[in-house]
Amino acid sequence: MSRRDVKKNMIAWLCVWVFLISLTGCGKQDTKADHMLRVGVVTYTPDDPFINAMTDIIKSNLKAKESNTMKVIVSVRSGDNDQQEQDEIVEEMIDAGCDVLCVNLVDRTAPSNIVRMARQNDIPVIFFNREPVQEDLLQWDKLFYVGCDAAQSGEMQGEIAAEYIKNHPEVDKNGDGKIQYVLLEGEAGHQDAISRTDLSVKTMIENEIELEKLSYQFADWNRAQAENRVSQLIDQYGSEIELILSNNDEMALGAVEAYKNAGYRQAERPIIFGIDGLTDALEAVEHGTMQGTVYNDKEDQARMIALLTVALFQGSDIEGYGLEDDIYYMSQYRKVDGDNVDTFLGK
Amino acid sequence: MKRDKLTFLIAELILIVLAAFFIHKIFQEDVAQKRVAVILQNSGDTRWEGVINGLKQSAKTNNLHLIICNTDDIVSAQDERELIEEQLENDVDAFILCPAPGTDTKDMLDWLGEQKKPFVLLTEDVYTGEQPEASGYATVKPDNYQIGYTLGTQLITQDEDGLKGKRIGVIAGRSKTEASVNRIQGLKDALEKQDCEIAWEYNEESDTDICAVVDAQESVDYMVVMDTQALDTLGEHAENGVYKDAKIFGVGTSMKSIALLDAGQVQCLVIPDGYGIGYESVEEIEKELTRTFYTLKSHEKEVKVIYKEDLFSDEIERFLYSYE
Repeated sequence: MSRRDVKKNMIAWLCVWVFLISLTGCGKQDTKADHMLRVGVVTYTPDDPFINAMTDIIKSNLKAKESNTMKVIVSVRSGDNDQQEQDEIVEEMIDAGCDVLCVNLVDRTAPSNIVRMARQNDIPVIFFNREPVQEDLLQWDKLFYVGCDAAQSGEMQGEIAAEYIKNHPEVDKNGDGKIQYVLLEGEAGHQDAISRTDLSVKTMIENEIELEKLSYQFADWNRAQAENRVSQLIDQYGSEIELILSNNDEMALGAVEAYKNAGYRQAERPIIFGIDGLTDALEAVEHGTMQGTVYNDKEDQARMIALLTVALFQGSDIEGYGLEDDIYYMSQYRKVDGDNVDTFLGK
Repeated sequence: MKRDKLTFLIAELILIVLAAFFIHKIFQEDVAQKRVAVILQNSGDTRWEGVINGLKQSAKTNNLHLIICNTDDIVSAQDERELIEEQLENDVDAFILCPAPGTDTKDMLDWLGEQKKPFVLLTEDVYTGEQPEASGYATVKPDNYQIGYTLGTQLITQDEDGLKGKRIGVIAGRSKTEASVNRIQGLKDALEKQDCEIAWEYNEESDTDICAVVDAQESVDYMVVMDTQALDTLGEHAENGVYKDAKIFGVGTSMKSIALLDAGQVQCLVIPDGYGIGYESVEEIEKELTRTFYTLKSHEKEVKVIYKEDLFSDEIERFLYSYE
């Protein structure tokens, strides 16, 4: 071997050595323990009773799947109504070690950062309750959505309200043949709020109920805000309001509270309809302070989220789960009124 | 020729000095941040809001990388050890821990000490039995005995009859923890000479409906709730600060607790300085990691007694600012 060959040989070995060293330095350490499923659940706020109830069910469903070979840790955090904060929480969860993310977005149009971070770390994401736009869900094949069709809940709310009014003509207190109504909307520009509002009113009109809108108020899906808004409406319209259609039960319950505080007897109050099927709302329907709600089947959605989470972690086939376009699981809403409320209260 | 050589040598020297300077700079800037894992039970729980804010702010100031572990219930030393082992594999440099309940935790922490990774305990010390003794580990926490004692003295001063003939229900956090044992003891000592009765005591367990638990107990005049989660739940279901005929006094470390006090749903709050606890625990770890002969030290943080009317005083506003 000539000196030149020796030199070449040495340089080649040096390159290999440097390459190997750089590999050990750059590689991210894999901390994933196969026996431990770490699920990060991130909600849009800690103050939404429906989401909290759903999160509790997701957690208990996942815990029920623990076995000798798989321990489950479910960490629940909240974005405090701030998408940037939610993005940071997801980043922290990924940094601490996470196998599957379940995300209830603050802003359904802004999942990009979460998707990017999850994709970089190969962590599947199951969005729930607030549906990202389809283009975002198509970015990667490990993105899923579990929820309901908001339009269906609006239609059902309109149907039960129309049916109630037909069966109870006394709802039209001033006897003018029109129902003076107020809308309690979740958030301005929120897709679910728009769908629920539009479809609810449209369905009532299709069912030949003549309506006259007195006012609409945004109350951020929140009971206290709705109570405040409705108290102001009571001051403004007194007993003119005959119907309150609310985008969710929390706001409907706020309306009930406002009438209670204003000293109105039940017969003097408007009829009130919500959506979600919260326990408080079901009890209100049972007691007659609300006339109906639409049951958002959180148990079914939580069951599917838990099933998907475990399947994705174990790399099992998810074909049998009935996902539309391999992405969506849409649960069915159910109507609740005074006649069937006992079923939902488990009586 | 000689002159050329000299010029060449000077140029070489300058180049060597420059190269050394840049190499030093590159390595100086390339020092990896030390990584500190934080293990808290139910890390997403709102009770940790102030603590986590303090931890994060201090980590930023002290140039440490904080890993807040994803956790749910940590019911035993074994649960905590599994989380620690995972982070040891993750090659963290130090730990900040809230100790798991039970007497086994001390052995588990001795094991962690053998791994040559420094750690600080926060919010409470290790449970060493019904007659708690200091474990000797560095701990950044409030005086838990004083919290219970303070709540007792507040009950006495707020009750028109000095608690004469009154019945009290006590809800504390998890059993077999230093915080619960000391808080209850502090409360009992404060009430010792009063003509009142502690009708029942309850240690909160995970996943229990605290309202159902209280509903099943006999009625009392006051409820002393020394667990934030239980306080927030009961406060939410109270009417004008009264739940099932009982006025609510308690320990609250979340924004929700403060909102409930503001809304009159809770009568009195004792709030430990969660932000300070978080901040100083990171500072301790930073000193241990960067100073060769430093020994970790314990710190005791203050607690504040707050009534609704105090909420907008300068002192309390400053204190609560850290929770936001």
